Amino acid sequence: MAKRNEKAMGGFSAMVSRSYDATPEQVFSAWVDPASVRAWLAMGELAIVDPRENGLFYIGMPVNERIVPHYGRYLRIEAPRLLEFTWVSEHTAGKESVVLIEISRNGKHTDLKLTHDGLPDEEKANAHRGGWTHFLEGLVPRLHKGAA
Amino acid sequence: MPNLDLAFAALADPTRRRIIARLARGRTRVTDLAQPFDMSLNAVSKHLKVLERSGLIKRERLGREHYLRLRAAPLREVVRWATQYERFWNQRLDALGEFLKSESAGRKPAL
Repeated sequence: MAKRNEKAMGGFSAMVSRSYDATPEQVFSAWVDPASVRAWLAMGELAIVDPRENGLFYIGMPVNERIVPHYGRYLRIEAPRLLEFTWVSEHTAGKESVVLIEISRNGKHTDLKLTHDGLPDEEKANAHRGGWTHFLEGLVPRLHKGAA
Repeated sequence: MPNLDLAFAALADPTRRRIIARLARGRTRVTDLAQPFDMSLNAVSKHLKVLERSGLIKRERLGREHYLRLRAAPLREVVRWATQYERFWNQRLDALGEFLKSESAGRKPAL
């Protein structure tokens, strides 16, 4: 399990980071406390979370005035610095993608780094290791200008 | 997103990535394409079949010559997934910031 996730990381991912005026404990708690998850992540819609390793969650996410069900499984819970869970919805074609949250103190602030890797299976993870991420990133802007 | 899986699989191979990179420079004859790759036309053909099936490249016949051309749509699909989620998480992380602010202000968020 740990091995597979390690492999899936650092590939073709969505990566987003923020700095918050809060403690790492407060930021971490917002991700695992059921009422908090419901308030900011589920935007007030139904959220059921069981934050322990291999615990499951459901989040009814409002997207374009429609509830899109999201399901997942907690892989690693290391308060207050690391949280990793799978993320499954119609936007992942029903497959397990992996979200990694890394939280670190930065002076009076707390930095959060979120990495969402959408390539759950071994073959695709290996493709990542081939380093084609940079290749794609460099190529696609050219495609937008050039080929149809 | 059926094309996405095929595109990822096709791009998993370094030779096929080199072929794509070459085609990004423009339409190329099959025979010319095989030249810089240290392999038989037959071996190159196998890679081309995988790329064609993924929809990443298109074969065109002009007279007696076969040309290959890059099709951008499946590649765009590959990056679209990541950009969509980047937008989604940016919005959610902003919401988390608002939530943390409202908590530290002592106000309980409306549930």
